Amino acid sequence: MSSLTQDIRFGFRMLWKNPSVTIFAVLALAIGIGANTALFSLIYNVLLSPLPFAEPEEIMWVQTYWNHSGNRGSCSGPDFLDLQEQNTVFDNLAAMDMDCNFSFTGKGEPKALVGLKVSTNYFTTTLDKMTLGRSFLPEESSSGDRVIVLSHKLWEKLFDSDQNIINQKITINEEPYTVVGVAPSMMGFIEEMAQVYTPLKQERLEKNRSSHYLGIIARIKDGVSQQQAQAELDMIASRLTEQYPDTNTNKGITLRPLQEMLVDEIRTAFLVLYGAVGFLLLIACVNVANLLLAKASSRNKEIAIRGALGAGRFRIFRQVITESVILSIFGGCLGLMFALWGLDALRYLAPHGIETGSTGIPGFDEIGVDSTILMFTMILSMLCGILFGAVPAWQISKTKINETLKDSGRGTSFGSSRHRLLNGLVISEIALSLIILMGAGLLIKSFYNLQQINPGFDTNNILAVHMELPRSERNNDTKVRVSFYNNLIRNVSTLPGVKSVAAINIHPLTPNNSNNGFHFEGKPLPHGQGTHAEYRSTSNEYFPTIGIPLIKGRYFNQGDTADSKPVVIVNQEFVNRYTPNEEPLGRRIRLNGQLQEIIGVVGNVKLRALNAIGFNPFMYKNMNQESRHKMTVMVKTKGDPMALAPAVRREIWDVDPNQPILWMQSMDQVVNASISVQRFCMILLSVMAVVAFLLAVIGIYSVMSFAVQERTHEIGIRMTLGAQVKDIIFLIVRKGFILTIIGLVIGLAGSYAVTRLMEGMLYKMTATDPLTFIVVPLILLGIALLACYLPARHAAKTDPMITLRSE
Amino acid sequence: MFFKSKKEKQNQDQTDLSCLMQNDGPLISMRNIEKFYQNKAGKTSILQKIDLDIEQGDFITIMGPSGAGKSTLLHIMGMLDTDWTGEYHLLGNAVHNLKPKDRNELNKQTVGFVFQSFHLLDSLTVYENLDTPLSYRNIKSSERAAIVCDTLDRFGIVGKKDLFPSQLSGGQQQLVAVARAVITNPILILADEPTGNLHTKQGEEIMELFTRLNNEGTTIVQVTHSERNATYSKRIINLWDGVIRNEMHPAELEGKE
Repeated sequence: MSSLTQDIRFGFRMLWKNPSVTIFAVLALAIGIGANTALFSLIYNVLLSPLPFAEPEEIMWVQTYWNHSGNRGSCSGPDFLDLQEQNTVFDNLAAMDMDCNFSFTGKGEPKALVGLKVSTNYFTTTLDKMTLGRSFLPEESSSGDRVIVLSHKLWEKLFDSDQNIINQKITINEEPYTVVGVAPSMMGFIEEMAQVYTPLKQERLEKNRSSHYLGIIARIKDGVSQQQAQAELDMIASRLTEQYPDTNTNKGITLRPLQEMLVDEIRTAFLVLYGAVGFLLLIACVNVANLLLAKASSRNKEIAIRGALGAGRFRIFRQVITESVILSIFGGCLGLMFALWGLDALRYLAPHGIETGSTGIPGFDEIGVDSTILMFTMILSMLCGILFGAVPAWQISKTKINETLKDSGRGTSFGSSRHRLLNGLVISEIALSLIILMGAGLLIKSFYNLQQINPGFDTNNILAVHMELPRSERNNDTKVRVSFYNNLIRNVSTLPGVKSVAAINIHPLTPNNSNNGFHFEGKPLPHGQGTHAEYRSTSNEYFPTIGIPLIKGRYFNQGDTADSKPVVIVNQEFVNRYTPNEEPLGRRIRLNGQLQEIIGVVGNVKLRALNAIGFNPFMYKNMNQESRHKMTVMVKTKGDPMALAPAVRREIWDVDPNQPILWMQSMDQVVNASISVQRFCMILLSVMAVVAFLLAVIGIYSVMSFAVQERTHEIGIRMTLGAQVKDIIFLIVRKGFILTIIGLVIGLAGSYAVTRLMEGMLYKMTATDPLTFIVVPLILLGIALLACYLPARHAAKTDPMITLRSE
Repeated sequence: MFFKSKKEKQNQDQTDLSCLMQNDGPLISMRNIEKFYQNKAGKTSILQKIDLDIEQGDFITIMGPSGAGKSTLLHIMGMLDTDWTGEYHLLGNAVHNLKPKDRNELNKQTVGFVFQSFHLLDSLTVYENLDTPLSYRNIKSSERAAIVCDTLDRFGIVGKKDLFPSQLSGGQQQLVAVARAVITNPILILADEPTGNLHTKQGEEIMELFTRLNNEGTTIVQVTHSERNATYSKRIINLWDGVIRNEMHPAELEGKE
């Protein structure tokens, strides 16, 4: 131990002796370790940490699967009830109606709360116990009792963790609700999307098999595999198809683990990011190894003396690697600080939904530095020290004692094996940084492609105001709802700066959807094909306000009232899919048990995200004929839409002072939110690429500088013999050019292999996009040559007599 | 099972050393030692057919012009140079047959080296420079501290123990180098131009120190150009162009003067 203490003491001294080298090495390592720690916290919490449910590996997500289109979606109430009754593979099956909004009044200003309506067995399916009180009772789905369960965070924030909250009454949707329970503390994204829970009414569950709006959670039985469960679901689906051909033809049921479903879309992206950050750390380590190797020649004498004094090779190796480990521990400590900043940056950049403001990504809100992450950082630091220290330490320990100690001669030279090693490290740096740069380049181009997409509507100068009328007795009257929204539209349209106002129940580019089955009057269903389409309720001015073009027929107008004939407008995709060879106008479809006439065909809009492939069929109903509690009011403005937000808010409260507003954003912000995951990945990867690039360029520069230093005598002689400045520059740059080219070739091969993993993250381009594969290497080549040119120019300007004299 | 404890290693070192000391023959016996460099121009001979015996307690000077191979011969004796042919016995051990690890062990136990350029470790204090060779010999830190203190005292450099080599004069540095060479109680000291970078008075002090050490039983082999330094020794070997030309007694040098 005492000799190890000696090595540690000496290690500190050696690092102090070369402050600039030490500082650079520590910084480079800190960046690599810090980035890895921050990303590891992300991966650990999002992909590896279990969901906060009892035995989370047993929880499955059940969805409707449309066989003819391959789409997955929500389930209908009657389908859910049949699944509950007929299955033998689940302990429990629970349903939830998501994105329900509740107005809470009676405690300060009215608040809009986001919550879930759940089947009464929801909590027994997912949790062990409640923090306070109880979960719902089975009879509460059919009794008239208004009961509510609070989320843990809401209970803490709004009710100050009141231990006596149970059985207290609170005003929700203008009605008194009894608090029966408080849920346990959950992950941030669950707390954000479920602030309150109320029971799904049995009556609603039994209605309308073609209305799909439920998410289903199932707890699989012990001993039952996912495959076995799926087989039974397939059987049940077939049975339902036979029993209900009108609504269940071509409708399957599918299940997968809930955790997998939640992280499916982001898993690849996050793993790619983590791979990139691993490369970044490698580059940092290679850079430091380069530095130590280049500095090794100045330590030849010291190492030779130690060898002459009896130090064996392993002892010398251990001493040098101890210095590396000390460096990396410093790097790790500073890296931890960088990681904390990095985590703050991740939270700031995190993709946020418009609806809840939360990331919607499980575990994201929990990223931080805990004991697991600390241990990861420590182990990573030690491994880095050994990784980048081993090669120089091994090289240094091979110092030839005899030759180094001889007093004659000009001093020791850098052996050829060390030169080869140095060159190899530079090549690997270039190759690795090219791979990261390539990934960033692809994402940047893909993001650019995304931004060029026409979503099908006008996003400029539109203020979107999302609200939901409280589900009170009063608002259950259709006329009241229609009157509220029509009055609001009329009032807002008189505001200065407003061009036009409209409303829709589910605006474009939202994660929510609502689709309904239908069929054409007098025409049997196509064999083996169910028909369904996205279903929306809009005000008269919706399409012109938001810029959706009219292709055929007409928009809604004042003549479309509750008492006039039921009408529907469809989109072009609906026509392409269901009436490709027939005139759609005038045809009638049976929808929700009612015949509706198609009066117009409008342009397509993107459903959930800009990068969605193709379009979905849509059916639009007039709000006067089918109104909703929840609507998004779209205000087309002359100038900045957010400038009108306060005025619009006033108009809303003029109509109803107790009406909560869920959110107000411009449509540009809504569009940006829909591609926030892509933006997040692009920004992160770009930052990493820039850092990797800088490290690689510094690496090349330092190696070239060292090479110039080594050749000072040779350069002096060449100049004495008549070499010009340009000849010297060419001599030095040529070496750097060769190393760079080799690195680029290896990097290109590596990029070709690695970027394929990103295929699913790219929009309208391949992972081997030719333009990216040409431009990025050229940029790296140019900068690398500049890094070689600078030391070469410096060397060429030296007076040869001075260099020769110094030798 | 596979690794010896420090105590076992120390016990083994002492056993090995006592075995070595029982050798009856000369301390150093060299037969037909040759060394050459191979380059594109051909073979360049550095040492040829060196036959040499050095008894324990001897004080030998190796002299000759520049490029004669003196330092090379010294480095071979000190087992710093391993690229040669011939037979070399040190304390009865056939060095030419030893594995590198065993050679290193033998070196640690028997040899102390003094260089012309001192070759102190610049980043270590005087105390630490003395401690370094002990730390490579599996000696406990408490014992090492005692040995270093004794040596500092013996060489009269206690007051300088916390200074760095750059803070010492040439003579003081060489004194520390000699102290470092003897601190492990080697039976053989090899000195390569020990006074080459010192002025006359400092050189004399070093030579008198060597004489004292030799009187105490340490075998000394020095390489020097200085005839004055050679007079301190008991035997002079003249090396010319890699070949031992002759041997003479220091008195013959004084006679020349």
